[in-house]
Amino acid sequence: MNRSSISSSERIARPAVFTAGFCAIAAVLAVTEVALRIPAVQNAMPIRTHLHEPGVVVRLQTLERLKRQSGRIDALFVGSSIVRCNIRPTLFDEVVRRQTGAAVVSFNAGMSGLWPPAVRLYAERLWIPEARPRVVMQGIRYGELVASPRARKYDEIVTSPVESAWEDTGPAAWLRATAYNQLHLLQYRGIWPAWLKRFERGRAAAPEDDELRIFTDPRGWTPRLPTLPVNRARNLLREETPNPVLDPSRSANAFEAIRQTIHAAQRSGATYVLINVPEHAFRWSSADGAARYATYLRALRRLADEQGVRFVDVTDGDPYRFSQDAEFADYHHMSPEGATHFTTLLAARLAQEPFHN
Amino acid sequence: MLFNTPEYFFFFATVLLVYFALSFRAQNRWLLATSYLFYASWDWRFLSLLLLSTVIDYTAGLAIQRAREREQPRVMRAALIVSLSAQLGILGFFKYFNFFAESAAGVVHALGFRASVPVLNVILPVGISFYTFQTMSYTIDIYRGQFLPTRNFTDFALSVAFFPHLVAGPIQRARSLIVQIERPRVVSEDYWSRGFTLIMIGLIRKVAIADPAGALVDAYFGNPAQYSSIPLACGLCLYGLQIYNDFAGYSEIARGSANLLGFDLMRNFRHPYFARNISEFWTRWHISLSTWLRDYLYIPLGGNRHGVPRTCANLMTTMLLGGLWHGASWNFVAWGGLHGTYLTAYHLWRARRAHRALEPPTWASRFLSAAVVYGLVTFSWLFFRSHDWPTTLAYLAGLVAFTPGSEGALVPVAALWAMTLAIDLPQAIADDECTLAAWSMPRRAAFVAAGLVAILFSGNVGHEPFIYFQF
Repeated sequence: MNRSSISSSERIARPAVFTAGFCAIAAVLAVTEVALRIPAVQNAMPIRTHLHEPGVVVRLQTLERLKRQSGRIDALFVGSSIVRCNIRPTLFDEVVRRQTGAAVVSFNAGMSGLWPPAVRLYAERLWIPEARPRVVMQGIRYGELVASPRARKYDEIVTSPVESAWEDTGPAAWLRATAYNQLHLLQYRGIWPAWLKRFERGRAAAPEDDELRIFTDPRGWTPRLPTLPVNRARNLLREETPNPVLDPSRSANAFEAIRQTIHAAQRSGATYVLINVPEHAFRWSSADGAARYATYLRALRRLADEQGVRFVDVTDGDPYRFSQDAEFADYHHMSPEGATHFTTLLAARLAQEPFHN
Repeated sequence: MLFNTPEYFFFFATVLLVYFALSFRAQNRWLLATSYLFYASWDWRFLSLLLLSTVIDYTAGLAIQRAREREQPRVMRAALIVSLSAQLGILGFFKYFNFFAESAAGVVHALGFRASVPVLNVILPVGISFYTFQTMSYTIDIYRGQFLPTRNFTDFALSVAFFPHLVAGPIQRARSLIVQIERPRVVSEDYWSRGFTLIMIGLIRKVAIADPAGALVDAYFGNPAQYSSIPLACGLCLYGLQIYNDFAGYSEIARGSANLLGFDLMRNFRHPYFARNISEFWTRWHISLSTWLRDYLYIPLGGNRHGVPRTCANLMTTMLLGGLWHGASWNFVAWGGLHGTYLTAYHLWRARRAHRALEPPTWASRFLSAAVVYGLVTFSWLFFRSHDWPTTLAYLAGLVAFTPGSEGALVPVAALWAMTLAIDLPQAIADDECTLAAWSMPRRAAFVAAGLVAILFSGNVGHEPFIYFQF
């Protein structure tokens, strides 16, 4: 623009012109927003990114679809990836139906990389309010009683656009979370650079491990393969060790988080059940492995008694009950065969729970 | 406070609201106060440096003019020398001290002597390269008699610190900005329209093109040995797109912000990758710096007035110093040297063809010339982007290995080029960077909405600083 344009322009800004401009832009954005709500468009788009990780988004969509189809969720499994991979809700429902004749609808809301405080956060703020189940079942294993460096960082979770409002109750956080929750236009941030990045090495990259993990069956179960012998042959498990001694002081946070999950379930009117998810016998192969396992189970049972909730252990205190390599993908995630075995045992123990009023 | 953050737009909206409620003189004081606040948001400690620089050149400008009126040329020269020495001294100390100390130590060490290098832990003040060049142009112009100094300190201080151009330019000539500061501004409909258009285009360039390109570039330059030749070549193309859209985007947001305040800042880019020769490239790329170097370095050195060898030497000197201006690193010097070589070769080639009758260029020849220039410029980015010589050499080795495959790496280049062309082509065809403002309302709304969606889908808004902030 040259200097002459200042003097030559006599017109002062007219609000009507800008109002019309903004309205036109808003109209185009509104059309886009509507288009993004159409299921066919949504299916063609990448997974939305407004929640901390795509796995949550996919699971939430799956849960909403199930609610639309069945009208209710009776049982909700919460926990980490050991819940997600090791419990098959469709099989669980089938076993319960066979034993009691009751038609139960259960959903697996296990998510990768969560330890109890993050499980509590998602259970309390997302899964229980969304599913409104009769029974909440939380799966846990020994290794989750202390924070793992491989777990998702709690601080990172609560800085995500939606999750931030779960901890920060200020109006700014609420406004941001509401905007991200309600506006689909805001729910795809980062998909453009992520798409470009797939071509970094010159070809559309194969799905990464995380991408494989987020897909579920219609009930939230994610089968895990290949089996342990294959992974072992690929030398992927060489750093795995038997479970170490648990430092009680470092597990206090986990127990407190489980207590809070229990309270959240009870506040919603649901029955809570604590489940020991078995690990491969290798985890207890150290000299004092059996004693360590007994101590761990005692601690869980004490917690359940203290809170007046049921504790289920399908191993009956035997650390070596799950020792078949073919039933595992690694030493704690089960293969579909292991998930079938464990879910069948679990359903048999839980069949009498009040899934219906 | 980055231009691509919500904080900046909140700050700017506040500035605007108060600005329009004030009288003309109060507007200038308000802009000065908010400009200092803007600068302090980066690092308040360097405000004193900015003030020192301002006071020195304000005083020098008045001293030069007073000496001119009293016909004291030696005093004039002395005042100019004091001003330039102070500005270059500040720049040299904060930006180049460690570089020259380490380089000198390297030479001494290579000669077989032992030397301990006094390395200082100096932080580079943001925008120092830009505002020192601008204030130097002020005193030089006064010395040359092209401009009368302003007696109003607030006006001069605002011309230096005016926040839209403070941290990364455009390196506005003081005379063009002070003239605007001294007069009441009228923010016409044109200005509003252009201001919003430029800010919008700038944001699209930065968030939807430059930052996604940067993510790939970082991977390629982070470990070039991991990639075959095609991805590495694509990495250079992507860096070319990143730096262009990043800096052009910054300049457009700066100019758009200035427009909304009733000011004009000079255009900094004019579709540089459409240039058909390397000389033309430099009339389209970072125009405020290249014209500064031309007016205050190349022409005073003699320009092209003293024969071909001297012209070539002047070109090379200018480009080497231009490279060094970007950063205290031999990589930048090499980049400047490469461009100096290009310009020298072009100058010699043109001199040999001067006697031939020129045929009007065909579309094919225009495209071919532009492609050659683009290739040369893109290659030169290798030296600009690498932070050290081992990376440069590793990248170069991977590039010339001509390992086949991985053609898919061209996809991001094509996608980001298409987005760049979607902005540049209409501007170039209309020869108006705000051609969007002249479009029909539905077409304009569709473009802006598409741009907003691209920004929203890119995410990461405000996380990546502008590349030129480091200079």
